[in-house]
Amino acid sequence: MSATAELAGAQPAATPVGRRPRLLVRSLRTPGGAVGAGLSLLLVAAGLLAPLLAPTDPFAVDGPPLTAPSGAYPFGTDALGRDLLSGVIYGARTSLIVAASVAAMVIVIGTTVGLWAGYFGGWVDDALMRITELFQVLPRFFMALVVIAFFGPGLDRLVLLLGVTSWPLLARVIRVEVLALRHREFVEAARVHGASRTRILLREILPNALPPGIALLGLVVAQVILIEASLGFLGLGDPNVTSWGTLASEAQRFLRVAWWLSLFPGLAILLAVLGLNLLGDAVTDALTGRR
Amino acid sequence: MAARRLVALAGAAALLLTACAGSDNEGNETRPDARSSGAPAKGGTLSVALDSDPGALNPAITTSGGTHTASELVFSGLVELTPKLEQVPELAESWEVLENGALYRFNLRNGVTWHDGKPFTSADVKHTFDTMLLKLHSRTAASVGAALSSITTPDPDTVEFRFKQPYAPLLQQLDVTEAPILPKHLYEGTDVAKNPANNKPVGTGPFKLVSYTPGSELRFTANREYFKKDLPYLDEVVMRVIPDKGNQVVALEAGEVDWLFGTPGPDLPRLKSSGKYDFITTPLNPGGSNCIMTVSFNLDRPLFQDVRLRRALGTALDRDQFVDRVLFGQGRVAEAPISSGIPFAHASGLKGMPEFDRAEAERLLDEAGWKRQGGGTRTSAGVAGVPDGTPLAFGFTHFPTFSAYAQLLRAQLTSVGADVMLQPLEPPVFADTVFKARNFDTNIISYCNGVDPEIGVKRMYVTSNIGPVPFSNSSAYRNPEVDKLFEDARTTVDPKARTQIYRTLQEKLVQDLPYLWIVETEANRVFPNTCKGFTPSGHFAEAASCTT
Repeated sequence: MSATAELAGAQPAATPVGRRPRLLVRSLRTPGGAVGAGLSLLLVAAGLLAPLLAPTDPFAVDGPPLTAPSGAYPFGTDALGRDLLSGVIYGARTSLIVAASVAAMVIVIGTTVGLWAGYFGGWVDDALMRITELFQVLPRFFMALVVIAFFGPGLDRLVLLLGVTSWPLLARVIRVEVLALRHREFVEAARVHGASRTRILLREILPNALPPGIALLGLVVAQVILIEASLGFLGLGDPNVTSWGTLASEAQRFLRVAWWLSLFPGLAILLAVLGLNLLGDAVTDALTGRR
Repeated sequence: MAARRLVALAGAAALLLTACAGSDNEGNETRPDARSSGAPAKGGTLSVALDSDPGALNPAITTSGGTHTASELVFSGLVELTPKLEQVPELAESWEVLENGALYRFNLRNGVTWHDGKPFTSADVKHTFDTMLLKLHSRTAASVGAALSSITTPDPDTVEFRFKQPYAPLLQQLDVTEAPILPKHLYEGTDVAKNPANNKPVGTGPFKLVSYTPGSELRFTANREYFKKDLPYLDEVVMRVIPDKGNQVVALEAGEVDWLFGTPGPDLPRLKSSGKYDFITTPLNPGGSNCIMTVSFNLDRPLFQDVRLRRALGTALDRDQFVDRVLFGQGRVAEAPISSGIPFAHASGLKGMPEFDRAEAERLLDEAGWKRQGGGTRTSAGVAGVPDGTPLAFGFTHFPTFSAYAQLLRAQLTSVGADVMLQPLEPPVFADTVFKARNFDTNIISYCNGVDPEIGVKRMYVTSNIGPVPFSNSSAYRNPEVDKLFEDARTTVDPKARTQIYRTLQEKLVQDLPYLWIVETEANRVFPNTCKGFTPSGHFAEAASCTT
């Protein structure tokens, strides 16, 4: 951002990138933004620090079976005697791993396609947009079901599948931004100065096209977390990692005898998705200047 | 339900009558209670919950649990098996075992008619065996079919089964589950698989099918011409498809159904303490009876070729926890390789079954060359066939429905330093992976022993039965002595000698530990305690009656 800020300062007529960070901070001061940021931060912290925060290994059969929440087991235990608090904390780690890996893939594929399509236009744009549409209409959830049915459950293939199928929205947003930016004065100026095409794309256009994409990413990531949880809920999660969806799925059989087994994993999913959505909305609002 | 209301009316009328009759009604008994008076109430409708749509209603051409559960009320076998596995006459009135067990002669009951009025004869028996049971009923085809030489019908009331060698278990395999008899006059000269009678069954059993609405319900009405005197007591049986077991319990508690074939473990204590229900605990599952949850080792892989490692892993398993936390008490720890549900073959008090002892398991692992490095996974040092420094890590393949077993096993083995990776696979994929590709380290299978070791035990151990047939010898266990003992047991008709052979056999198995036998599973049938007279399977509602 510093490079663009510098550039914006040098060229007053250019895009108002320099004001954006301040808007962002302001948007986080709204109740929705603050809650969203807080919840998202909590998710990241729980995921990163899981081994330190969790009382036990999430798979260890250490306690008595089906004990209600108490001092010793704040979230209770499941039928096998496993500590649910540890399960929920490690579940955050799984959600975080999936979300971060998918986000990374989405950013790389989505921005590349969006930049190229928007900047080069013509047949490149046409071709890339047809491909984007192809990926956009793929039913992600059902493809995930098919992949798991064929290759068995596993986080690696889930991340790969979701990463490869979740980028179209981002690509389209970036493309639109690039279309709007590519004939702006500061781009033309760079071109006149003899800047290379790569430099123009990466240093002039990308930094200005990216922010709306980042805002969108929060929503994409929230969806990814929901899909991972849904698969777990259908019993298709990777059994070698703890997942909120799997915990909620196992809880179904005990709905009438152990409410805590459904409540806590469900709450965790709710809060994580809510947090990311609120954060995404707040950032979008800030960028479009609605606040 | 309408019929049941009628019964209630009839009951009220009876009550009025006795009230009028007055003084001979002693004590505070104000209405006839079938539970205490003993005389079964007649009439009424029984509603039954089914797990899945049966698809078809011909039990002679499949071993599918859904089809059998829904159709066995309609048909009969030659012999009926009581819950204790005693043989009592059904379509066969009596039988003789001749030539030391190589020839069985059955005298059929006279005057039995099919639901469409045609008479039942020995030709029906021969036709059913020849065209259906010995070809398409996988258990009967594999066991009886392999040993049989011919079936003859000297006259309409007599059937003879001739075997190549003496065949001991036949009488256990002639009940309505293993050998239902179907009408020749509807199947002769047709394609069995496409015969319309598969969905409109005509049998000789206690109930006749009235209607079958796929995916929804089946209605049966009492067969008033049934050859067993006075039976059935009920007027009607309605089977409703309710796939979710939790919903079945809800339907039971709401009074919408009167019979569940299984009770989910978490709900069992609540239903028991309510005092409104009776239970039948049984080792009979729709997929087979006397099932043992069994862990296989892939003995083709060097890692598992040392019996000391297998014994160590067995010793690390706290099987009581499996009974308590996975089965919720619906079962027991397996004491021997053969189920306790086959009393003549089960070796009680067997020495050498691995018993839970974590310290002993750790010691055995050290001894077998698997040393702990710090607190984590053990690694090998001087284990034959395994490079030094290999971690004690292996996969555990299982049906998704057995994930609770898998998770408990992983937790218990992790605590002695073994790293277990769970690999849930849907049943068809599981069968291919384990039995065709043999691409697994360990797995868990519900091996149903059946009513005779010849049916469901032998397949797990004999060398000739290693793949590709599903649920065969999963560990790839090869022991010529064991093969020979199974062969001896099949041709030995004397019960005492047979028992001794099976005992010797189990002693060998426990020494070699090709498998770990974890728990014997049971199911609980549940019904309101206003009903009585059920048996756990087969013609389960034949002698049932309910008061309102």
